[in-house]
Parts: sequence; C-alpha cells; structure tokens
Amino acid sequence: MTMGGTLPAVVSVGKGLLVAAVLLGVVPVLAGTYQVLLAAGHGWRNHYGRCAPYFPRTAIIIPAWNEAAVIGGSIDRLMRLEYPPESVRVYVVDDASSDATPDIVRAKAREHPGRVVHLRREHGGQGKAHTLNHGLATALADGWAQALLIMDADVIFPPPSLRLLSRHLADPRVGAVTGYIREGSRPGNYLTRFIAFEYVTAQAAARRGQNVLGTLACLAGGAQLHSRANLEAIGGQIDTSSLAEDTVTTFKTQLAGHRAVFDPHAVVIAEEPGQVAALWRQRLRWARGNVQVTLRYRRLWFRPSAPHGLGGVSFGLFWFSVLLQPVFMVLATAGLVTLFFADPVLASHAFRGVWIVTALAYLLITLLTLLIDPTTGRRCWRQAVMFPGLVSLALIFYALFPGPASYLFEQLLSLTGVTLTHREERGIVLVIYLWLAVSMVVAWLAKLAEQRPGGRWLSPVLLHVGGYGPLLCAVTFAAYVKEARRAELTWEKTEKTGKALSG
Amino acid sequence: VSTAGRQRPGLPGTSPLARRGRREPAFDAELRQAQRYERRLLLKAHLCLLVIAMVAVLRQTFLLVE
Repeated sequence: MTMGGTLPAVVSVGKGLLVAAVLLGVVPVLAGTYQVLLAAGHGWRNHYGRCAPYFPRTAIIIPAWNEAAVIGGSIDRLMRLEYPPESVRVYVVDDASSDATPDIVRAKAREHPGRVVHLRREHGGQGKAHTLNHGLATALADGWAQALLIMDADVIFPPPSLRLLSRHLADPRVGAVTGYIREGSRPGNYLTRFIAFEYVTAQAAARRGQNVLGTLACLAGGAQLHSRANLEAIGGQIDTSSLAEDTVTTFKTQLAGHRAVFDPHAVVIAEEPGQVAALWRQRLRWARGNVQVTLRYRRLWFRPSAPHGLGGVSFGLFWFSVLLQPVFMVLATAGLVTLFFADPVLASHAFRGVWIVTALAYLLITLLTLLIDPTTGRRCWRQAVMFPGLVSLALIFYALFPGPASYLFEQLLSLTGVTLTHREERGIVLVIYLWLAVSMVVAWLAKLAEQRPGGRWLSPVLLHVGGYGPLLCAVTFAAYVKEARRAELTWEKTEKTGKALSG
Repeated sequence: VSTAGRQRPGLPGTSPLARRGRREPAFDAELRQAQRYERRLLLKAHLCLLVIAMVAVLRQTFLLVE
C-alpha cells in the first residue's frame, strides 16, 4: 500500500477509535437502563415463592461508638419487633465509647434482662469490622443463635422488618438476606433528599435487578440477616482488611454456595449525611472498598461458567459500569474534544448520539425509579429531576428538542444583548463537549466550597449545577487516587444525630 | 425448617395452624401482596417505555416541522 492510501486509512481508524471512546460515555447509562428494566422483572423472578413462616432465634449485633443520641431508641424499637420476644437477643458492642452510650446500654440491659447484652471493648477505634467481630464471636460462642442480624446503631427497624427478612431463611439455600434502607432524615435537606433518591436507584431498583440475576453485589451493612450456618461457613468473622466489609461478606456468602437475597419490602430507615463533606467521607470509604474488592476478586470477573453467578456478564457489567464511570466520562470527553479539532462535524454527530441515548435513559430510569418507591418519589422528585445537574439537564433538553432549545438560547442571548462571534461560539461548544468531565470538578468544588465563607449557599448551587451523579463519580475518582497512593485505611464514622423518623 | 420461636399469637406465621406446619392465611396474604406489588412493576415499566416512545415521536415531529 502506498503512503497516499495508508494515511487516510490511519486517519479513519483514528477517528473510529475516537468515536468509540466517545460512545463509552453511554455505557453507564445503558447498564443502568438494563438494570432498572431487569428490576421490572422481579415480579416473575423473586424469592417469595420459597418463603415460609420462620422465626429463628436471632442475635442482633450492634456496633456502637459514641451512639448516645440513637442507641436507646434503637434498642427500644428492637424490643417492640413483631417477633417472638424470647427469640431476640441484642448484643451492643460498645467500642470504647466516651459518651453516655455504655450507661444507656447498661440501663437497657437491666430493663430487659437476658434480652439486651452490653459488650465493652476497652481499646476501640479499630473500625466497624473489628467491633462487629467482637460481637459475632460472643454470639457464636454458644449454640443459642440460629441467625444473626448485623445492623447499625442508628438504623430504625420498623416492627415487621425482622420477620420479613427471616422468612427467606426458611429456604436452606439462602445464607443471607438484606432489606431496603430508606433515607429517613426529617426534616432533612436537599442533600438527604438526593441520597433518598439515590437509594431508590441503588437499592430498591438495582438490587431487585440483581435478585433477578440471582447474584447480589452487596448486603446493606446496616441490615443484613445471616443464617448461623452461613456465618460459620465464611469463617464466623467479618473481613477486616477492606473498607467494604459488607461487600466482602456478600461475595464470601455466594462463593460459599449460599444465596444472598434482597427483600425490598423489608424496609428499614437510616439517617444519612446532610453535608457534602460528610457524604464525601462516607462515599470515599465505600468507593475505596469497592476498588479493593475489585482487585481482591480479580480472577472472578466475567467468568460466566462459575456456579455462584459473580462471574456473570450482566453482573460484571453492572459492577464495572459504576466502578469505571469516571474513566468512561474522562475517555468520552477526551475523544470528543480531540474529534472537535480533527473533525468537527463527526464530533457534533457523536455528541448528539451520546446525549440522545443519555436523555432517553435518564427519562426511563428516573420515571421507573420514582414509580418503584412512590413514597420516596413524592418527597424527592425534584432531586430525581436534578440528579444529573442543571447543565446536563439543559443538554438533555437540547438532545431531545434541538429546535426549541436553540430558540430559547437565542432568545436568552437577545434578552441579555449578547452577540457571539464565531470564535466565542466555538468556545461554548468546546465547554459543552468538556462537560462530562468538568461536571465532576464542579461537584467536587461543591465539597470544597462548603467549608469556606459563603459555602452554605454556594455549595448547594454548585452541586445543583454540577449534579449529584457527577459528585458520586468524583468520589470514585478520588478513591482511585487514594488507592493508587496506598493511603492509610481509616474508618471515619458518619455522625448520627437521631433525626431519622420511621414515618 | 426449624419451628423455633413460633409461639407468639397474632403474627403471620405464628398461629396454631402454622405451628402444625401448615401455611396460614395471614402469612400468605402478606406474600401475595408483595408479589402483586412486584408484578405491577412490569406494568409500570411498560408505562415508562410508552412515555419514552412518545417523547421520541415528539422529537421527530419537531425535527420534521423544522
């Protein structure tokens, strides 16, 4: 082949690769769409057919470090569960608390002799997994417990919740069951409502989809019920080497040949962070944990022949579409910007294609998610709409209705008396092409701004402009960096104030 | 399946019927309600897909008008 024939071929291949990079930007939304559509099939493929009335003797393990604001109320609620009283025993593992937690738990132990046990660790601060293990070792030491419920001190268990979970353990193939943690801060703020909507997508919708696949990614750390046999099969302990100990437990359960099941009707209530910085710390811990889990089980992914389902293609797609979302966004942006300089027309087509797919996926996921949990939907529909951020919403509108969007933009320019030169128009297009990556930076700035003067109003503005979704991507990106630097694994507890209500 | 702890009256799954190893109406009713809710999700998904289709048609109409 001559040089004259080779060069155009190389250019074509190069452009093809750039378009492929841009199209990576839709992988997460397509995976999200697939998952939410799978959730719709939960009516036909779920575990309810194998449920039976079953009330195993249950040891409830509550790790507690300075939980004076919530622990008393949590114990009282557990004492009122719709469950045979003689079959519930609460072990509060007090991790060297320095507040009134030990006094409160001791008082509750006196009030409910034999049903509430106070376990004290004099040297605490090693993290939740170590604290849990202290309780698990005690509860498993005698033969009383037939099942063990692991929960967080602030999580509100409404009366039916435990029996709704335990009915699944009637099937001996099931090793663990988790419930749906609904955000319950009252009155809450814009951020807790974003989290509430996120929990509908990430739990009520996504975990239904995972039930349909038969493989669960994570048993919620705040509400997981294990059979004794399952906990013993995975070593009777929770993993202490990872920041995602609940995900490791979930994987170990399924690798041991037991099923992990999600019951969306076993609803429990939790208080979530009302400040971006606190949310960032919590999610950084989770995201780093997920990076660790990915590396730890690196020989497991995309091996469909494995019997446990963790190697399934769909499961791998769901897992990596979340874990690699920042990578996809950066690659898509880089591809689009390079195309902008190399072939502006092709760049325009690729951009439009990505945003049309994103727009339709956004509509489907948002609508269906709101319908999956209408109770939360009524409270958080504004945050559901604003989830991708104001700029992305404008781009979604433009992708769907380019004519009206352009007309509105021109009207806006004429109202403000601004006339754009060709160079300025190109500049705006470039900024729009950069937005997938820039949105993460804007969301990250929302976290930075919060602690600065004026941050109380600036931070929400930045978060609404950048988007809550991009904030989660920025956290994942930060998790890559922390893992690459091998930063110290620290357990920073999320502050709980007891402002969650069960209503 | 162990029958441990099935003594408290009034809970689905704890009646004398359940203690004899038989399914009881209250427990089954609760399960049926959950199943109904789950099956309705498919209907909701169809509704959402219908909305998406309408949006797509609207988009094409706008493009044609232009």
